Amino acid sequence: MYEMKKIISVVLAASLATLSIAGCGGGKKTETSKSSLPTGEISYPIKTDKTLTYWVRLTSALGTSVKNFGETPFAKEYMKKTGINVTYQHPAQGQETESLNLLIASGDFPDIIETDWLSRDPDASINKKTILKLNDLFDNYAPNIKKYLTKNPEIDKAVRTDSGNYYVFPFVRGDEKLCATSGFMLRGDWLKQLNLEVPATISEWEEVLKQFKEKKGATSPLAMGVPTGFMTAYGIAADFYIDNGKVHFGPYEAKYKDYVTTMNKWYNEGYIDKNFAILDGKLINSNMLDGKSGVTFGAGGGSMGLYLNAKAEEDKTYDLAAAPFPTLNKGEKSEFGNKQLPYSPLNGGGITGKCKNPELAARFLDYSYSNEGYMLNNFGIEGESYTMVDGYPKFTEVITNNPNKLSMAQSIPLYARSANEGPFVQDVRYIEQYYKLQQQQDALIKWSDNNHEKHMIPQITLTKEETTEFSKIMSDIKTYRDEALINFILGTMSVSSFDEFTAKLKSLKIERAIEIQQAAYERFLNRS
Amino acid sequence: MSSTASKLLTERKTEQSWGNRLCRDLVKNKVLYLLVIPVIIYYIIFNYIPMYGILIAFQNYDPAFGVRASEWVGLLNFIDFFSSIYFWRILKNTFIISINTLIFGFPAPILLALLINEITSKKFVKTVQTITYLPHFISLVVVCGMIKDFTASTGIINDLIEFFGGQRTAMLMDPKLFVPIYVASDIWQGVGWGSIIYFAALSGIDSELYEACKIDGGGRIRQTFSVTLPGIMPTIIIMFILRMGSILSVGFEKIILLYSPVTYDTADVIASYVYRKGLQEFNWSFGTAVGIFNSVINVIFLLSANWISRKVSETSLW
Amino acid sequence: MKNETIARKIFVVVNTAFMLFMIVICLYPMIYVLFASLSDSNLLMAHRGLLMSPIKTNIESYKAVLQNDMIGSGYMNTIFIVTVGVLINLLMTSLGAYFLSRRDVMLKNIIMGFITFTMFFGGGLIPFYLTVKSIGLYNSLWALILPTAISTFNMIIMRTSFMTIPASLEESAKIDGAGHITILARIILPLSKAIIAVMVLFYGVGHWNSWFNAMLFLNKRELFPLQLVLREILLQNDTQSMMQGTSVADGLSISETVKYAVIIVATLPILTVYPFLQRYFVQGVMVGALKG
Repeated sequence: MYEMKKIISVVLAASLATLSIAGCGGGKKTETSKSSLPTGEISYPIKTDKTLTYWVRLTSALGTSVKNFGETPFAKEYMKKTGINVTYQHPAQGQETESLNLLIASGDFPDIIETDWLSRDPDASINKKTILKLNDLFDNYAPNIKKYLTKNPEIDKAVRTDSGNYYVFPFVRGDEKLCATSGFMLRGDWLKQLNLEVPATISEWEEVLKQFKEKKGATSPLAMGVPTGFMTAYGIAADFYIDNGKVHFGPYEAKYKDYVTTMNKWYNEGYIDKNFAILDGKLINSNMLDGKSGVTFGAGGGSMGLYLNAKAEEDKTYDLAAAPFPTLNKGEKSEFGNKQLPYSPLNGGGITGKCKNPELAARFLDYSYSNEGYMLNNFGIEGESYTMVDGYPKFTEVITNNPNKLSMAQSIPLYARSANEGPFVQDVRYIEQYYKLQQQQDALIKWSDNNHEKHMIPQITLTKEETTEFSKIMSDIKTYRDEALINFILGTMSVSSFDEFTAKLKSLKIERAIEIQQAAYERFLNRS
Repeated sequence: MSSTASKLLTERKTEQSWGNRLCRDLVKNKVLYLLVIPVIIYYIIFNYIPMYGILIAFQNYDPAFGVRASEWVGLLNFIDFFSSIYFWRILKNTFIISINTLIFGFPAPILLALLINEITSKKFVKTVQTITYLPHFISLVVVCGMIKDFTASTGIINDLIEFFGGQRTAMLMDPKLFVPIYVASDIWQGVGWGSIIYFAALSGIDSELYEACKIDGGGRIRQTFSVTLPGIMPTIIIMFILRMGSILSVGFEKIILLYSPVTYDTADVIASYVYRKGLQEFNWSFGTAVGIFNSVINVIFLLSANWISRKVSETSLW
Repeated sequence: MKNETIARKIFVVVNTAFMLFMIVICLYPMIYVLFASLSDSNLLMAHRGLLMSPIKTNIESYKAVLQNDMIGSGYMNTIFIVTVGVLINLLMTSLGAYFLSRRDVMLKNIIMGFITFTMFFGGGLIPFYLTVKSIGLYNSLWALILPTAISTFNMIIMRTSFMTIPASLEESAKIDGAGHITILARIILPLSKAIIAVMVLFYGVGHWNSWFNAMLFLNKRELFPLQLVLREILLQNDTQSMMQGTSVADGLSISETVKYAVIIVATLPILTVYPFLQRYFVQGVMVGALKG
């Protein structure tokens, strides 16, 4: 009996001990040590022997070449130029979110963490001291980012929270073309043979699809899942968007009916693949490559580049041409597209509450926004990965024709960060070289030729209560919307019952969801 | 034994307190208890200590705050779950898929084991055994890719259907076909691997019993029913009870890989719904709450199956 | 008698046909994967349906997989984990199964309940992670062995098997003065070769295939087990991981065929284990015991 009691008390003690270790989340206060770093403008490299720890995702393209980011020529050069030594840590690929959650829960995290801090409620994260409020650090120790933000007030507004807090060193796409990297593409060779122009309106699309099917033997002309890309013609988007200062939800609009009617018609005509709801990448690829389809929706590199390169050897006539986002009437510019916002919250560099030298961390991250850091991030090391040719940074053979047979997607990340997100400003000249083929360059132009940016919802933040309510509502609405759309297209849900669809959305509280978005949007506009 | 004597004995037994009996048992089976202590310690450390995590279901958990400081919300997460308009649908689908897998998928490995047992050539037995368990090792992603390929309107199954005069359809887009495809592919992938445990059970049957049956004039069929089946029955029963204990545990991975909004009606299960919801928010609490709900239902089924089994046979979990 | 022979003959024919059918449909997926891994990636992309042979055979994909020097360390780590892991699994599981199969132990049912409860209720990922970490197993291969030392499911199966061993054998051993340890080691285990083989298979395959705990607890890449390394390679083409922030660099770095090569490299070894364990699944193992 006594043995039992002893065992129980030991176990209890152990559990209490573990509980207390476990319960200590990020509530510790960080001592801001009196820094000996000078404020304001400085010249790099900094003389210091303090080091920083840095958590960042190791992209799959790099994973084949190095075990740690610190081994890349880019990282070595960056550390050399700034004079600060950094130890990089990586989560297992594909498990970044879980790893980060566990890291935070354990209360034991590094000095800098690069992740999407916007989705983690930045103000709350600052309150919990998971990351630091950066305003003072920007003013005193990060003159470069400060200059950039002053010159770009729209970005400045987007990277702050509603309460005016800076929370990351942001990733910014520095040019419009960088924001529109996916869209429609069709068999350019077929268009030429059929004497057709790249379609711009819905009726032109119908003509093209019909001829692809009848004259080119494309049994399923459209190689894509649910064809939401065509919604642009009806002046709506698949989700929330802004129109004249008001938030709207595409499927709740009357024009959505016209869209589903057209899609249903196209399904009946056989333009949409019979398997569209379960098409996966593999089937889409084979369709596009063996001619069962003639149209797809994809990215300039991942789809267009992939297909053109795959066919380059065996079929020299195979060609892809990008199409702009469709409208209803000729000559109009589409109000919608598939753009991304210039400020992307992905891979924002946050300084954590565990950092003992936040000023040093700020200096380290700020270097990316200096002229030198900008070039390093985008093109790599001058003389090694790029050379200036008539004022234009041209990638060298190490990148374009790598001796170890690495593709550009793998060679660039060794020297520069431009191929992915990170805390720096992206330069368009990188993609001008990465998209080697003329078709890809044209695609960038065609896909950015619309007014989408006027309608995109900016980086708003919801309060904790709003988030809870919003997620609950949207979870079921999304399920319903996705099911209904497919059923409309198939015809199992008749277009004449569209009013029931709208009514159901209303009963699922879509209007409350719109309200929440509207409130957050207005808070955004009011950011000073 | 005289009735008075036995009465005295039983009285003696009940007179002794539970505590006293326990002490005597601990002494008598000292070694036995010592042997099991490492096992108990294992469960305490890796299962019972982390169990405080169940509390997460009653909170609005945030990793940065930990369990200590996260906000308490009581039954909110459960109400959230129950009040979804899709609650009954996902519950129904989970049951239907699980029960179908049970009805068709549970007997399949047993049948396979019995049939393989009838093969006379040792080499053939070895070959069949080794090959039938191969599909278990192919990753789910590849298997589902194949399923999508085969069942597409342009796939070989439709080729067969057309050959026999039927019409081509995109099979995975038909809610009515989802469950059959799911169950059939489950059997395809799992029957070989699942039969292994029954082979082990078969090898434990005393061959003398077979001799005795043959002497009594029993043919193979008689042998199967009188010797083989009873011989592996304890294994079958335990496997069945355990299976009942995972009645609501239809895993989300395969569902996610095969379903699409058009088949949500029969394919969306609890796990896939929670997964989708989880993509919206990092909602630990919701997932934990649903997990508890699942567990409670699973336990109820397990206990019922165990109870029934105890009444009807000698075998049960406890 | 004659009827039986004809019926028996028909049965044998049907059964054999059925087995051949099973062989074909179970072998085909593996063959598909093998052929795909040896194909040309561009042509494979355009292909649909059954693969009857590799398309433009080449071993590029295998070169790509084997070039990764993490494969070597991955194999070493996994072999360590499987060997040590299975030994510990067998030890712990037998102890538990033995205890739970005894007929006259008072606390048996309570402990059984204590254990099976954990099959249903658990604290979730974060408390588990924090507990293992606080014991000091972070960044150690033991984090992949100790927390999974016992699978309750396996233990219950083993217990069931132990319970089918006739009590008479134990009784006679007890009369001869044998204690529990002797009974376990000299009687129960030798008669349980088949179930032990099953445990080796179940636990072994479990360890071989596992990557999740490695992902949780290992930071040092040189400790990564094989499956984790291979999973990273597999993810390189996965649209899921690509959506996670490939803004402009949406180019693919590794082709489809590598995915298949990865599966072959990862699975072939474990497939060869089964034939070795097979001989334990043979009837008559019990015979010696009864006669003796």
